[in-house]
Amino acid sequence: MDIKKKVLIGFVVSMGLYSAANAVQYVNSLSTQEKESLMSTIKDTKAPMSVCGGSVIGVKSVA
Amino acid sequence: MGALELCIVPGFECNFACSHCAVSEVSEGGVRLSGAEVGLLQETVRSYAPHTLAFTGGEPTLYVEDINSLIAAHPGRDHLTIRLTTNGHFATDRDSIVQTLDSFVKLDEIQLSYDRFHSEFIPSQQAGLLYQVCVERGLRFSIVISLTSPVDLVIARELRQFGDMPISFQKVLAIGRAKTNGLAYQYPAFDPAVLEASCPNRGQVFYICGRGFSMCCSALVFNGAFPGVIHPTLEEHLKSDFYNRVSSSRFSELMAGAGVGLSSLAPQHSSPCALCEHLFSSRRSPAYVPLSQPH
Repeated sequence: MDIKKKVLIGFVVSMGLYSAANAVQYVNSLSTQEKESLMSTIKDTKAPMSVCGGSVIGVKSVA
Repeated sequence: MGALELCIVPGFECNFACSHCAVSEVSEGGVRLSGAEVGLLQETVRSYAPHTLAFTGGEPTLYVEDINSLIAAHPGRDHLTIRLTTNGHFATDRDSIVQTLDSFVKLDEIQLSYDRFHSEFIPSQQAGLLYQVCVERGLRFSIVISLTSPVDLVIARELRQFGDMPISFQKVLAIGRAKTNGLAYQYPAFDPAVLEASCPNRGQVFYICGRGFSMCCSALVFNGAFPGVIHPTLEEHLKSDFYNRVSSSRFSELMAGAGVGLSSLAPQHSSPCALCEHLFSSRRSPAYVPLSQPH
């Protein structure tokens, strides 16, 4: 597995977007352009981001 | 000060038409709070004194008068937090932002919904301007990005040019227009980690315009009729089997109570809300044991 894929998988798992198993499948399904877009996001968005549960009307405060 | 955060949907009207909206197709409950509902909520706020009143929708800035009447009913405003989840439509210029923010008798936090869906209606510059004005006025500010897949996060790069505001992201659920348009977040396979999770709404109760009180803000409220999930008063809801079960149990325990087996779970049940909907759809199973007798 190349380093870019590992970085993407690590990012997706660490952000709570997918479990490790699902993250591998997901990253393998991405196009080259999608991988590049996500890599740029990882590099450029250093400030904290977090995942929320519930629906969009019920997001708890993260401010 | 109460231990609860009370989230209120004062109405379903919105000036955007996002393709992923969860509440866009809810109409049978009416588009705004009735006079009786406002009175009920005022009494609820007075009695329970929640530490936070959060207003969402629809677009809550379309319901300023109702919101202000509910804030005014709170007995301890000095320690009360008011949070608004908005689409930021008013952030066209500084004056409009100030006028809108000042229309609320109290406001502590702005939560801006911004993602590829909302970006069809306002440019990111408006999000940046709203952030700037909130910072100047000492208001807490954050952005919520709705995701149909992790790639949707790339919009965060565009937002970060305006500052290091907290960003959270929410996986789109199969509710409302999102369900109609097939925009729910997809899972390659079922993730068993969800079984050890619990409802993300612990500590929160919602009042849904035209419907009632529920700990659920999601599938059980908006995807058809699930008995015992919504109640006309907060007191009834807090005493309900649904509230007591969901607020204290992990999904593995809810599964056991519903008599649902692992073999019935599909990839989409990796979402806590989708799993919960699946479990409560199975409540008619003879294996389901209520915590208390129904009223």
